[in-house]
Amino acid sequence: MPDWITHIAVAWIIGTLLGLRYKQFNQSNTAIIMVGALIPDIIKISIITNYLGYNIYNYITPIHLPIGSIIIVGMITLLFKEKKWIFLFLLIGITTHYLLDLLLEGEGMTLFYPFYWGQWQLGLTTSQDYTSTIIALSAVILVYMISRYQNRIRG
Amino acid sequence: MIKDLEIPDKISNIIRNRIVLFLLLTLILTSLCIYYADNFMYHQKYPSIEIILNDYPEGEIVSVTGTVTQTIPDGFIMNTNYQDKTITFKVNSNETIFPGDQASVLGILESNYQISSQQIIITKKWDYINLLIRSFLAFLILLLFFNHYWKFNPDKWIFSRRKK
Repeated sequence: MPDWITHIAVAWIIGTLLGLRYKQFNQSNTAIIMVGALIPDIIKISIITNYLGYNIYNYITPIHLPIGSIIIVGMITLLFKEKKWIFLFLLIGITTHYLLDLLLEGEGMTLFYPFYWGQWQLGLTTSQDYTSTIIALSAVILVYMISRYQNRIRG
Repeated sequence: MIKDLEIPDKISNIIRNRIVLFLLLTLILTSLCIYYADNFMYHQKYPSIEIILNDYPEGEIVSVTGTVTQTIPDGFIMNTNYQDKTITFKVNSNETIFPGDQASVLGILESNYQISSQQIIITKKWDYINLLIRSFLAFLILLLFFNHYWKFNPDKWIFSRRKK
């Protein structure tokens, strides 16, 4: 995984950029997209269980696959009133997560589980590489300035 | 007193439906997790630790991930855990690596849990810790950001927008 700074930064950028065009993408809904961007990494709970001596990674891997993440999105959506919109925003969040994870080195992700076990990953960067974090944070500053400028023009 | 404990029908229906939906989704997710855990080893590109332990495919390319415990002149010793067992591999490699680093090794399995590496992805111990710290900070930022716009109503078990 890229670090969570990159994940939430990219989610914020996408929410804010879409907010320049569509009013539904306000900052409160951007917060939902950011939550969605971390949903697949619920699997990182296995780091804690590993320290406790229980290796559950292979049992909870589907959480870090699209089908599992979508089910978790469904569960979280139950905690909101505007279910359709929240589902959509969380879905955008998890999509950004998988697009970023696809860039990494590794054995590949079983994106179409349980229908197909083929694995893909582009192997362009590693999870420890700071470059993606720096690029994402630079883009955050740029998008923040653009959105402020837009808001000033709109009054 | 009993009347106080009664939940209005409308809310009761909503709660009941949400609970049913939640249980249904949990059931589906659990089924997917069990199916994955039972079958993933048969669909991997290269034999992983379970197949190595069961069939020992000597001479085949295998993929193993573990923690480096010791460096030796022509490689390193790596431990990997599988179902409460610790399996030790000797990996032949020229990579610069240190105890505590994580290594994902792709290579030919030889006798006595020895691997001639073809490709290694190394995760340095401190890089990994740094990644976790950065991610923890990001999580705190997200909590603050989310809390700024949303509040949780524990009576109705629902998040609602904060009025601005």
